[in-house]
Amino acid sequence: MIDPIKTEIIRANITAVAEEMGVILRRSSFSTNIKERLDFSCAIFNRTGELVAHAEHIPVHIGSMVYSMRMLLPRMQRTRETIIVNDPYSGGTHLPDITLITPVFADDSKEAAFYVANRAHHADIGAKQRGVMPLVTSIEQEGVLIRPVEFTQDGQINRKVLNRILNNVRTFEERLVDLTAQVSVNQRGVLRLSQLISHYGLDNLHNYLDSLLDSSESVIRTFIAKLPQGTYSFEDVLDDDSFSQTPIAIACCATVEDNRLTFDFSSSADQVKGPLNTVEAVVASAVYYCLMGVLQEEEIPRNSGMMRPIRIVTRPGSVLNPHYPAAVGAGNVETSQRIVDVILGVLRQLIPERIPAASQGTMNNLSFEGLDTKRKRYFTYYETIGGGAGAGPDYDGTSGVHCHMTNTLNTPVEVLEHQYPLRAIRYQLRRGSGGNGLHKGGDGLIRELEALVKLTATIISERRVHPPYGLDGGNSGRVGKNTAILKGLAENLKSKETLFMENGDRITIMTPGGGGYGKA
Amino acid sequence: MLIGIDTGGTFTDFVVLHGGGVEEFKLSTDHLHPERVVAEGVEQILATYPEACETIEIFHGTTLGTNLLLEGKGARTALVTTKGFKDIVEIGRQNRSDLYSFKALKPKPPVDREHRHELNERMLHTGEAVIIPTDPEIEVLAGQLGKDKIEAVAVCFLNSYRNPDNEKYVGEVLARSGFHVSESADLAPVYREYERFILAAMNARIGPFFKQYLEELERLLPRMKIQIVQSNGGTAPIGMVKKKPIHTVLSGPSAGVLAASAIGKTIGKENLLTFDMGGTSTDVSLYDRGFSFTDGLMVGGLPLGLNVVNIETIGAGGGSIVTLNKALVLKVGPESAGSVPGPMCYGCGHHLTVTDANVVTGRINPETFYGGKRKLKVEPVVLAFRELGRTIGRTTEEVAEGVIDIVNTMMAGALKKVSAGKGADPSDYILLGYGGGGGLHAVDLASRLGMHEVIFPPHTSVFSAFGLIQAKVTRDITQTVMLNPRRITYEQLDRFFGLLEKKILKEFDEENLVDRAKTDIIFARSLFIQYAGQGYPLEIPCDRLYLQRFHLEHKRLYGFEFPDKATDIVNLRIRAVLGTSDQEMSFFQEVSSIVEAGGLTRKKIFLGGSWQDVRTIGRASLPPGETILGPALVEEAMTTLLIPEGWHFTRDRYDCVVVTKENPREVS
Repeated sequence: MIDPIKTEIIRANITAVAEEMGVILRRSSFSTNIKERLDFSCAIFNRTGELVAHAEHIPVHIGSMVYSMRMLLPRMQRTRETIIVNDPYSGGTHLPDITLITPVFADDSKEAAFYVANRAHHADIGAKQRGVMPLVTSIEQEGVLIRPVEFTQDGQINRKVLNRILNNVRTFEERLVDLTAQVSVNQRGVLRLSQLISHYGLDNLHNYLDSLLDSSESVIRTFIAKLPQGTYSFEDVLDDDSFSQTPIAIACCATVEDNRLTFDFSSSADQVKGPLNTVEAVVASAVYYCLMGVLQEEEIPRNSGMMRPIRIVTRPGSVLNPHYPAAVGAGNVETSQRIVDVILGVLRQLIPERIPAASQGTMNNLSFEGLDTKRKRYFTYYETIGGGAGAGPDYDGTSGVHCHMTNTLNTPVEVLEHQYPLRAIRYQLRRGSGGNGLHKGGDGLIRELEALVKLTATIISERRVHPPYGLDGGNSGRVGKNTAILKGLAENLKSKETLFMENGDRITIMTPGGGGYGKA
Repeated sequence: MLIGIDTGGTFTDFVVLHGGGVEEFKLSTDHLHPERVVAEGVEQILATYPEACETIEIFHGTTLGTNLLLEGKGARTALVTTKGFKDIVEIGRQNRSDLYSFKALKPKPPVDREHRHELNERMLHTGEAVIIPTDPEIEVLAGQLGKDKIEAVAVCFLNSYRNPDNEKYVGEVLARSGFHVSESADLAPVYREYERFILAAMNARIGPFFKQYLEELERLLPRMKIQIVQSNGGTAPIGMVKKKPIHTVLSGPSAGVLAASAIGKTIGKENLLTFDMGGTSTDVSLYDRGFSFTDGLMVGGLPLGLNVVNIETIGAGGGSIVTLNKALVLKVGPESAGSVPGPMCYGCGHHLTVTDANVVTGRINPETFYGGKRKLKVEPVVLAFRELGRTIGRTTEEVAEGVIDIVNTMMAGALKKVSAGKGADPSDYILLGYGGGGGLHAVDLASRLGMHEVIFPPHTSVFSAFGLIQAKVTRDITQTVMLNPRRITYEQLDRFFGLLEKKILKEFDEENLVDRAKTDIIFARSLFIQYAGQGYPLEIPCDRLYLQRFHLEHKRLYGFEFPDKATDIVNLRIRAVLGTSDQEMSFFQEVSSIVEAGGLTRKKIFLGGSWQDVRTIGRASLPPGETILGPALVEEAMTTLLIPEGWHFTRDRYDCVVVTKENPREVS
């Protein structure tokens, strides 16, 4: 008999394992991305590769980890060691996200009982051009490509693999600590799961976790059964791929049929030259995120049981399923946001009362690198900037917040100035940028930074040409804008651009507002 | 004579320790003038012990600060900050509180947009002031604040943790203009601007109210030594609290955990889940061989940014109001009837409450409630429950028991959150039940959570107030320093700590706390160390071996270390505890084997869907060591304990009622 209190205790216990892993990674890592912005995820998979628990971190990672695990499961079943991977074409998302998966064995059994995994966004992965996510045309130029390989030998880090990575990056000391932390995090996960196995018994544990997966599946099946059958579609665009100014179509067509829900993205644009392509794992994570959001009221248990009745279709050779070696660096952060916009555009036709207007639709990726002459070290720094959230049927949009596929924290000004040769000049709300309407869209942000040494800056942003849509007669949010003051001269920047800055130069990023809802 | 006074949402509890004897009583809290009730209680005590007047020491816990913050009340507050950064408190950390909610909600900032002002000012992380605020600009600002009828101002500048000069300067000018001023680095000289600014803004919001409250208290209780319990489990004298009331946010609840710690040590059981059910709210926490402290407490969704005892509070208590929503679903709380008008059975209120449900089901004896000082009116309550029952097709008693079931589910949820929610199995813990309502609800909660033992400590109904008198004056300061251990000697560190100690001594002196002849101050020094480049330092005791200790601790916590890597000393923390020798006494006395007269009687209560015959006995009449089977009611002056079937209980030599599950193996 499945006892509801016991189920809750086991659910909480296994989630606590993922959370403890997250705490260790956050507290012991070096990358500002990981420790301040929490751009990482920790998850636990069962023997068949289904996600049974995750710490609540970054949506873009979680959904894609489910997909990655499905791809990597055959490889994982052939090892007792920790596997490392960042190759987007074999289970990764984009190169800066390095994933480590470790099997957990009960006693001396041959088959793994669980897998623990963590994925963290490194600030530097050795791109051939400067910039954390450089504006290049192939994956080789984006940095070190790590195909799935054993990163440990009898649990100890394999120096050969480690050195191959460290020799190809600029900030190897940071990478050394962060990769060591990532290995250690999985070892803690293994230890805690082994304790749970011996406390509850393996079969018992699997039974309770299976029942949680089933309950998640039954919640979404009940939900789908209530939707009107049929086919619905929606399309939006990305501004450009940084090499041409042509908009890139992102399209979704959803079909509700016999308790199943299919999302077909085949009519999206062909793959592009610049790094706006993205792999199917990221598409899957956008779908997972949107369904989780829509099912808030149902209090669905958070695991991959809900993905069982969902089918995702993409077209090989398209921007959402490109052929190797297309560049995918910004797909994870920018294209993923537009995928959400079109999925929500479709879902609005099915359940209008739960869907808001478009949010800022970008992460405004800003990165710096160069030689810090004061601290005598080479540095790379990366941040994303929040914007306006879309208004909903009965609420205004929130201002200056990260939306949808990311929820990373900002780097406090005092931490930024203490660690990097940068000074903050302005960090405030961009008043009036939210779309007008019965309910107003949230305002974007203005962030102005000054270089204190000679450095290279890269901005990768979206919604600089095509604004976030309003709904039901609400206005769209204002498009974002990037400017710089170089040697005293003001300059307008493109949505995606790399620039060389001298001491005293400034860059200003104004992020988009959210769409309004209803006629004002 | 030591007096503990705990002002709660419904009752103000008093505990008096005098010449080895302990007395306790409760008065109703007056929300408009809580200080009057405090004074009234002290007068009652003085009427009995007029000679004690000269020696009274008062330890006071108050929820004034928390309530102001949670209800969004407080003074008209403005925030003054560095030019370019007035939205920091609204932007927050750019994240939303619920990952999957499309509403992307963030907590409401403590100061609205129109009351956030900027000054031309800039401090660097090196401590260099590149722009110093000018008098004319500050005067213009002061004029504007005056026009806006601002009462309190938070002065929050970037990098002030490194050099507070600009904050101090502006703060002094504004204070001279008559505003209540809170400077961010004065409250917490630590880096990360958002958290520090929020702390200053919250302190400003509650500052003027708190000051007024304390001045009134001093006026009503002249010449008495008054200390206020703080969220760190220690106390502070009134003078210090007036400046920094934000330290009292968990004043009441942390006293309960202090008392729990003391009884746990006395009886040798230190794996406790504490459950403090009052009239308005319920506080729960996990005590596992030591307090758990947290730097991550959120108050109304905002980070507090101070090191406090880790406690979870929910809005459910004896006074929680019962309502029926449109879908004919019964709801309990979070509104409370308080003590005025109080539950319907008090005879003035019109709302049914949890207490009324306990009366109708026979759990509360209307004749002996509140020590027999308050005769309860049962009839209107029965009528109201009957009416409610008719609407939803249930009997009078079934509805009343349903109300108890709902509130127990809510409280079990809070207990689950602090235990199972953190991976701790509740069945490995003992439930410590106290507060006015703890006795009637605790054992049922233990059943729900699969726990095997419940303890009701001595002075169950006023246990938190009892904890107050054990608190000692405690002051901690955390200071961000960013030092490199390779470039600093231990002697230099020692001097840094010496300066902080001097600062605390000066504060203590200003309050006349230090009587050099008989006062000991125990200082505890610690360092927050990380590998250069990390973001979350570890707190390591400061002695000559601190670096070795750090590497070991890092390895223990995270599984790896880099002994050759450079490290940073991020913060220094000093904690000063003031101990006088006469406070070192045992608070829990053994009970004598002579018990009060009065044996078992029988009574009918509605339990588990039917009227049942249960034993009742007075707590003071329980012979120590003898085991009695449930179902039973144990009555005492201010509360009642309910022990259902399947549990048995005994009174131990420290007057704890220990309730144990029969055949605990059957549970799992």
